[in-house]
Amino acid sequence: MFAARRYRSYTQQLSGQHLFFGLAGIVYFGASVLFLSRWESIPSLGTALGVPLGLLLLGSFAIKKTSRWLDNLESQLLRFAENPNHSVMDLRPLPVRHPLAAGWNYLLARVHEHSAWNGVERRLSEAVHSQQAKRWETAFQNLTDGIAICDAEGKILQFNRSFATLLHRPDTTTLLGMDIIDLVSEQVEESAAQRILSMASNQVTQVIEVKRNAELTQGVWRLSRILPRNENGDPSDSIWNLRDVTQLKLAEAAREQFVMTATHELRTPLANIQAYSETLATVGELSAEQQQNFYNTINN
Amino acid sequence: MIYSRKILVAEDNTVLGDVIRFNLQRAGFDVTLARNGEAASQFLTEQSFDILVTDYEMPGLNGEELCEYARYRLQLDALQIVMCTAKGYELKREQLQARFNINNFMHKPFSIRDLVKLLASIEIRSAASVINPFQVT
Repeated sequence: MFAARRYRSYTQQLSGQHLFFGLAGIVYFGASVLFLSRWESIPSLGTALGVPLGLLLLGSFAIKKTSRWLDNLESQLLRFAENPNHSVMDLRPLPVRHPLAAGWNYLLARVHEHSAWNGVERRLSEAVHSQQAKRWETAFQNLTDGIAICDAEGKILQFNRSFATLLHRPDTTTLLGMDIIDLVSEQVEESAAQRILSMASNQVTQVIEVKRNAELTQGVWRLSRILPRNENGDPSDSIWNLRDVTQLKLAEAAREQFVMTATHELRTPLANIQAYSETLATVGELSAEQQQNFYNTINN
Repeated sequence: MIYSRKILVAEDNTVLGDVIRFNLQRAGFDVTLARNGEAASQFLTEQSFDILVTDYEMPGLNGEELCEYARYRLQLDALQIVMCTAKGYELKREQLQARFNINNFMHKPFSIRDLVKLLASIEIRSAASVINPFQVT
């Protein structure tokens, strides 16, 4: 890193050295004239020294003026040398006609253009990500399944509206940080709470169905606990999915009841037919009247 | 020892009850037919039986309630019970067996011959049977 205060620009050094050596030449020239003239023409000494001195000062001024834009360029580059994080947008073009300045200006234009595109790209990317995040949030909030994300200790970090609704907790602010096992267990029957507890102790993804009450109509939940792995392959947060399957269970119960009834209704006449036909086939000494009665029973 | 086994059949299906009684009587059993659960409980209260053959589903007192009445109300520990049912997998068989010490289950439609064989093979624990030295079973 350069020390900015002590650093003298190349053009300053150039003009300084020019001045120093010029002055040294003049002094040497004046001394030589004095020695040679033996103090005889002292009045002309002023002219002999004044003219080259004036020309020297004028030359130094001209050099300094001509190289001012170089000084500008140098100071801009120096700012970058001092601070690598300096913004490229602060760089200024050089207002002179010179191939070096034209190169600098062209380079600067390209850098500004690139930087501007980067900015646009970044803002666009942020906008797209923001839109995506909003869409995900909307989808998450409007799922019919209740979803809750918990930390390794089972404390709720995030949840959606359906989760709060299923748990009959309209005041959603109170759910954050609560223990999910306690929260769900208090809404189901005792045996189901035990199953939830044992599910939570297993380090694998599990799905169970729990009844809220002995009565099926009071509600049945399908509770899933998913354990996503982090980049090291270890389980960290857990995702709990709560689904109301009451209607499904009621439909299943109705279907089972129908099958049972239909089966029963089929088996009863079959039992009659089998009993009578077997009797007809195995009992030899049946009277004609008995046989007829048995046939009639089977037919009816 | 030759004796006729005293059997109470509780069956609300009249047609099936008749043919069961017919076949059991032909096999030499002493058969009483009750047309429903209440009638069967009345018979159990008034008489002694070796075996109860009961349907599961009956109006009023069903087969399960009849077993409960026999085992817990009348304390008929020696009575052997055979349950006939048109129910399938939904019947809680193990529970019933454990609770009422049911000897066997017959699932409808069943073979009458199998029922006769089963009733003949059941070990009799009660003193309800009347010794009949002239009847060959």
